[in-house]
Amino acid sequence: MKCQLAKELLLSDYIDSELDQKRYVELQKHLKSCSECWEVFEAVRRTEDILRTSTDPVPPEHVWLLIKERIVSRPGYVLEKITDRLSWLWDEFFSAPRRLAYGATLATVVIFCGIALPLTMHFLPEKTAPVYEEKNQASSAVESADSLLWLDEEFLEIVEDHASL
Amino acid sequence: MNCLNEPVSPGEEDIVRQAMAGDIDAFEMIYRKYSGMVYGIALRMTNSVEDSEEIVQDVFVSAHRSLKNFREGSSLKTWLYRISVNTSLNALRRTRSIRGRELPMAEGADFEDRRNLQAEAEESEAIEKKVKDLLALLNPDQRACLVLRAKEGLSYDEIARVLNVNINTVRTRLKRARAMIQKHVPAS
Ligand SMILES: [Zn+2]
Repeated sequence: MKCQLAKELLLSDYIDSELDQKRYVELQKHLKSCSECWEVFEAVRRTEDILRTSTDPVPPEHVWLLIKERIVSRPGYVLEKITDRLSWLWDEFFSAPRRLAYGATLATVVIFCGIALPLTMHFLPEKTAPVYEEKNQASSAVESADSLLWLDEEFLEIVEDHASL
Repeated sequence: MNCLNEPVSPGEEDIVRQAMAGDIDAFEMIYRKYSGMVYGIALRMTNSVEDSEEIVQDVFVSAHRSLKNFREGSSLKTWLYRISVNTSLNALRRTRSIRGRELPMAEGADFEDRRNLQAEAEESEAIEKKVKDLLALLNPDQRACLVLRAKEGLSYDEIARVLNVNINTVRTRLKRARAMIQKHVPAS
């Protein structure tokens, strides 16, 4: 293996453990015999170690408070939350297994209405349809007008009696 | 080693579902778990505490907004990596266009005594300074690749998926990033 290829691989696939077995063995062999490439490898490994050992700091607490504020105060947040809830409810109540259950219930009701009800009706003694005494608005209005008229007549009689006295 | 192929963990799946249903407490749990990772990426990408705090905000606000687009069973981590890197790259572009210049390079990065690097590395503060110096040598695309690879431990394939580029692009960027760093680290 030539130094140029060795160095290229050192900077990428080798250090990143992405090298295939054949190349890996070749490069290992080269590194053992070439001090210049070994120097490069050592230098790269050191910088990689530095990058790896650095730790992730936790962002200050006010960052979360600002995020929360931005989420909650965003226009449409409340409306979105309501629609989200509604669609969640919709999904919950019309989920596939529930749809099946609803279908079965509906089928049972249809079957009951189609078979059981006519059968029940057949065995029941015949009855005349009940007659309801309907008082529609118009008739009740006439009645109240009549009573008013009656009141008027009575009132007139009383007035006349008083007048004759 | 990270494994992005892994879907969200069982407990996390419920939390994500609750957050998707609008539960802000569940979303806070997601924040508590991943804010360090997002902040770390932002800090390494921008080298600015102020910008990074804003990036963390933007990442989680847009994550919350697009939670409903999140495919259940896919990796929350990959998704957050993608939003974090893209938000950081956008922030860098914005900063550059405002300031009208390249990202500040490390001023006289102190690599004079490479043999002292090991000793210094024992102090995390020193490490952070070195990390800043190293990453400041790179362009934003190279920096994103190196952070995802060296810091977050993603494979080439995973980086390619996060950045939406092909594997060879990832390989080339990493190679150039490291070559650039080595050029600035004087040989002993
Ligand atoms: Zn060589």
